[in-house]
Amino acid sequence: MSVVRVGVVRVGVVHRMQTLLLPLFLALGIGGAFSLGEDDAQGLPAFAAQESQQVTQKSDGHSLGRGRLVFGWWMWTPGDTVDDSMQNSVVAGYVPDQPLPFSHKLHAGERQIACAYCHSGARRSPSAVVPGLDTCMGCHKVVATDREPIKQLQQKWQNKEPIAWIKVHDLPDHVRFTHKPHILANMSCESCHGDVKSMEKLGQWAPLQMGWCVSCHKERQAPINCQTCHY
Amino acid sequence: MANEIKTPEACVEVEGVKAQGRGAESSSALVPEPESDVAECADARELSVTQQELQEVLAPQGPFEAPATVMVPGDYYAAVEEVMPDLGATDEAVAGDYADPRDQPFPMDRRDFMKLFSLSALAAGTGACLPRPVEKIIPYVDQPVDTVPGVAQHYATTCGECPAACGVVVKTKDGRPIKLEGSKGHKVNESGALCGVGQAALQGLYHPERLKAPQMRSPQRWVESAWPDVWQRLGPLCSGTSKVGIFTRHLSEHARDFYGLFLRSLGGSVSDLYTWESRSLWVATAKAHQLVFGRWGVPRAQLSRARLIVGVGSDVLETGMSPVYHSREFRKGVGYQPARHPHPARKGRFVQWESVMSLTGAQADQRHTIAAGSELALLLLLLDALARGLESRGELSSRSFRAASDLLKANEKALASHREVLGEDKRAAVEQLAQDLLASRGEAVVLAGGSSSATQQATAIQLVALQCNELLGAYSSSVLDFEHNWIPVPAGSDDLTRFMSRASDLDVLFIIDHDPLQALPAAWGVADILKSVGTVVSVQSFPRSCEAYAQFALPAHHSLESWGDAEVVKGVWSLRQPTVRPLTDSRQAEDILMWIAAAAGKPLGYESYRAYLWSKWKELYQKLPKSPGMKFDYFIKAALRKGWIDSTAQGDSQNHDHGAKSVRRAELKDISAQVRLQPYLPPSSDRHLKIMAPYDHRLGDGFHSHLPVLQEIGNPMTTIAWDSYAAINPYTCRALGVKRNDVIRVLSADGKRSIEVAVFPLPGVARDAIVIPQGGGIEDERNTIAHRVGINPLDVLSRLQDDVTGELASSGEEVLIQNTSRRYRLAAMQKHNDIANRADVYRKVGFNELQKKMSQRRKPKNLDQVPDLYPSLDKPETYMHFQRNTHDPSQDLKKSTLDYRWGMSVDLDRCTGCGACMVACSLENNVPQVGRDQINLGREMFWIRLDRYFDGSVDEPGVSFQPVMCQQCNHAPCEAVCPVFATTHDPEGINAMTYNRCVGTRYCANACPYKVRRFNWWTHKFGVIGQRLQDRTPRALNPDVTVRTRGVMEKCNFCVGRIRDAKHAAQEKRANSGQSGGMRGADVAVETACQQTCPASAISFGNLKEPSLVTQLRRSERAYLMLGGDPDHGHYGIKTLPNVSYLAEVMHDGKPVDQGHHVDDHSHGH
Repeated sequence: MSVVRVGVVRVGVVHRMQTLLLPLFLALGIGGAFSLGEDDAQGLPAFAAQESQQVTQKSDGHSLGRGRLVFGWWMWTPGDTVDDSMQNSVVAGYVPDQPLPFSHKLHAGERQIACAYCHSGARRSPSAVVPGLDTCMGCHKVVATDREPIKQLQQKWQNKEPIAWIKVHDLPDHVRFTHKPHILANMSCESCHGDVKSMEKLGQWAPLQMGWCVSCHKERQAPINCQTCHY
Repeated sequence: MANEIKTPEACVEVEGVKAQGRGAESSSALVPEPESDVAECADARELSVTQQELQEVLAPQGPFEAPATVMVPGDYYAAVEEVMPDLGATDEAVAGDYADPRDQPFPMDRRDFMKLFSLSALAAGTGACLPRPVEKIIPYVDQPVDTVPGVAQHYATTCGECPAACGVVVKTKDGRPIKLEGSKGHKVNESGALCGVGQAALQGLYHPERLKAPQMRSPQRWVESAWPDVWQRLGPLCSGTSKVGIFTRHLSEHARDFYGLFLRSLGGSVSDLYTWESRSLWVATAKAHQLVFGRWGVPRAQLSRARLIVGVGSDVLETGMSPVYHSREFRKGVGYQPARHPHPARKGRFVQWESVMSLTGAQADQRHTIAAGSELALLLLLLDALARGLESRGELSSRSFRAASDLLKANEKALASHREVLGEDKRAAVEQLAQDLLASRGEAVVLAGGSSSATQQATAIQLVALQCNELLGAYSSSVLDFEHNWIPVPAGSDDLTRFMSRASDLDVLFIIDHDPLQALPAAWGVADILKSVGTVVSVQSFPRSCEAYAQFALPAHHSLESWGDAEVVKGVWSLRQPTVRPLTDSRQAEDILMWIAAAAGKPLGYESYRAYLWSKWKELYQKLPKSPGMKFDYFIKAALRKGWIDSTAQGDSQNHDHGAKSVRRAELKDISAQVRLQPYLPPSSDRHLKIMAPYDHRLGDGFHSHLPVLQEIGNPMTTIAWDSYAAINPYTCRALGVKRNDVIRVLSADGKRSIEVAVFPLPGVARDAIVIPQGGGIEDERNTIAHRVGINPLDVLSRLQDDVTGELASSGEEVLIQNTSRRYRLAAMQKHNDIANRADVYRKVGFNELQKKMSQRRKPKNLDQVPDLYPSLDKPETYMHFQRNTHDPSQDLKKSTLDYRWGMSVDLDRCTGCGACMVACSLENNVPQVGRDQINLGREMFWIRLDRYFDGSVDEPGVSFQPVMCQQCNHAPCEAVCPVFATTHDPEGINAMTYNRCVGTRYCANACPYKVRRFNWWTHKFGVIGQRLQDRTPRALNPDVTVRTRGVMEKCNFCVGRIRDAKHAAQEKRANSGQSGGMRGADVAVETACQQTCPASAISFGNLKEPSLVTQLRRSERAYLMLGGDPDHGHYGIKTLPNVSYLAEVMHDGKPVDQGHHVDDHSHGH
């Protein structure tokens, strides 16, 4: 019987010890999460990236995703490959505040400026290209110069200071989306970006998730093999 | 033993007893009493398992390396231990193997693991609820005209890594260079090829350890400073009566003039400009031509006009003067050329005599190993045989014959000893060779000398070779063209000797992009010279070890940031322009001199070096015949756009009859004064060997050692990466009692200097030679990549100089070998990813046999007709089944994807094993460098590897190289085993790898018969793996390719990003020209990175659905699939049906066949 007793005692001890050590373990787990983040190609711990709203510039080496807190630290599980879109609690309907209150409704809607006038890369480049300040200044040297945001714009132009827009349509880094073939295939901008002409503040209209992409590719008989977008 | 570990069997027994005793007492999982046997035994079992695991990790060959003693079927051996097992490394838990603590066996027991695992799962749950990260888009303020963000721009420039000066097109994206490619049509690299060193220039540009700002030495340490301070300090130092000198690499004539101008304006003279390259071949060859023809320069051998090439210690394909140019020419001249009407098929012959095992020698049809240092003797024997042959035919003037026999007479005594060493057979071979050479006069050439034969007789070797070539009519048949196709060597013959004698008197010495401390043996006393110079100013694009003696360390522009030019062939000028804004606060070296001159009160009168260059190019422009009204501005813009100009009068070069085979009578000059053959010195004892320290074709003299990709690809012959090694003949190893990885001590003749290095038994090395390539042994903590990697063999040499020119002689000195009891594990990759059945991996075919096979063929060869249970590949239903429910299948036929089936063909007859493909692939596809320790664990990440096989005798082996990339099987074993469909088949024939799906089971790597899949054991980023800095600053990555993280499998994907780009470009072209309907197969022109860079054009790539070159090659008689059996005779191998096909190497099998029949073996022209 002594065996059983000893056993019970031991289990109890272990149980109590676990309770006591739980905060410690939690801290360990989070610490592990941090080192996971650091191991990731983006180089920023996940929390740091979110809390400080740091710039994580995509153009610097397209990694498979940034820091995340998954099982992968100890096992070679999907940890390192889960994309950040799975983290997105907001999918469609993401309408961030921009540094300047640029209105697509005014420019594209009321004034009927063609999309490609500013987003001139869409036809030629993987990126649709957010226009440089010089494009804005092409009109705003003379147009609406009395308004506060335009004054800010001119200030930036004089200081040669770029505007850091918040990215709205943000695909995971392992998706190699290219605007060029879509525009060349006569896709309209609205089919992915929604009715931008009516958006005072630009937001994400489409879910931009793989199922959504694939359904359209199927419909239009575009290739749907993995390497179309993932390589 | 007290703490003897019990075997698992014993445990089972004890446990059985205990279980009985416990009976039905309790079924709960209880912890047994500590004093019982069971507990001890349970622990013992755990321990024994751990031990076993440990052993697995520490096993001599590890799980990735099959035991060397197992013979592999087929004629080939990948390591000499397969034929001489006693040389294999056995007990290899060598200290230093686990320099990276993360490589230690798992430091945690199972329970701790479970605890942490559950907690991290908890943490994961929390993480999933976090909002998404914010990314920002920062557009231009003022977007440059003609720039579309995301669209690549290309700049033509000139490679600055070696004096060959290949033309380069730099692909830049958003202002930063991301890939270098050769410039098509350039006079050096016509096909647009580039060697590995040129490719790796990109890593030099982005190297994180480049100096960020100028530095000045305060007594003890470096102090970062600003440029104005530098001018202020250096200006007065250089003014007045101070003597200023410059030590640098070979310069173009224009740059040389500039440096001369600088020195003159400071009151000095151009004689204090010392330009020197470690490759003494340049100066030796130029000197020989000066002595005989009276002209200083080097003829550029047009090997494409030669059908018989004899190399004596030649390194023409690797470290020679222009390896990219010569690789191409070499293949055109003596490589297999299929029949092309009206010419029958042909295969030239290359015979190499050497005492090292060089890449050039590996390409020889006949390779003779000769005793170390007997190149000159061999050439004299050859000259003798040639002169006698011509004399007997009455085709040699008596004066010439006398000159030849005088030469022989003067060296007769020494020659006798060499004759004896050479032996009967080899002497007969020389005689026979002379006959063959004479038979193909006008199409034959002797190439002699190289870095391995850079002995004291390097110039004498060139002189005798020159005489041989003169007898063979090589100079008049324009194989060697000293009238039109020659390289003016912009260096003096005595720069090095002048430097050694005069430098210590200098007040200021500028060392510009050079490291005399590393490139010259310690015995030359460069350190003392630098100490005695008043002020040493080191102007480098990367910190060099000579900065230890410098008072100023100034960052210079990398060649991709600078202006410059080079005269690549007489009259052909190649222009260098910046391709990126300077990444650090560096300056162009010439501009630095300009500022210093200005600060010294003697301005040079030019705004910048660019302005100076323009003035020089204006002179060129004025000399050119040109269309009237063409302004200089247009001219220079056109030159910048193209990258080079040909200023030779157009008429002149075309009127020159290149095809002329008329051989004029040779008149030999008496050169006996310069040629002094030393008698063969037998080794002083059986522990004495002759050391050869050749220039390494990747690392050079250490100048490129800081580029991780060049360290990582390893020497293709030994496959050793990140280390120096001593290559010794296996029989000599046996005699010395050493085997692979044994550390030996190499002592100089006087016993004063010594180095320690690990042994690598290498077949093909002369028995009296020890070969240690240069490029290692850099001691510089500011150079993390190369710091203490390997050793510098020059440290053991005494001050040996060329008899004629006084150049550095790095070969031929006798050294003493001492064994140590230590062992050191060299990171040799030769047995990694080994394919067991070599009989079906590498194929050779005899020339005559091939012709016979072709004439007997009834129906065209079809490698794709493999019987299979599954539907045919070409039927769209195979891939479109998932769409059939919703669509009319007949519509699927029209789908653009079915226009393509990508295929590749690798010509084993052309591959020279240079490794450029590995470098190009790594840079294109962001393949990480993992370092020595990871390579030792079999974790190198190359998507394309270079397998090297030996066959035949150990002394004179045949060597074969085979690039192996993913074979893109149509019936891929890897696809079937993936549990998450991360690897799938693309309708275009590519075996696709979807990284974000991969969960890292590594089943696919196990299933792959070709061993081409690579697993990311770490996230290789900008940190440190194995204590080495990883050169992966984010800017240096190709933004078009995903960077893979830890836990993901990866492999070659046929550069699918390039395919995608090419398709989109074709789509755009069609759309712009108003055509509808997407693109067609033939519209898409795509080159993979490896294909693009291959100097020998061994790799072809294209669409197998079109009658493209690769389609033709796949049907060629030589084509085979790796492990694909012999489909003609109903053997289909493992039936994986790869899209990569190989072309068998063509060998000589007896005399050439009667060339009456012209069987068309699908032309192979590039």
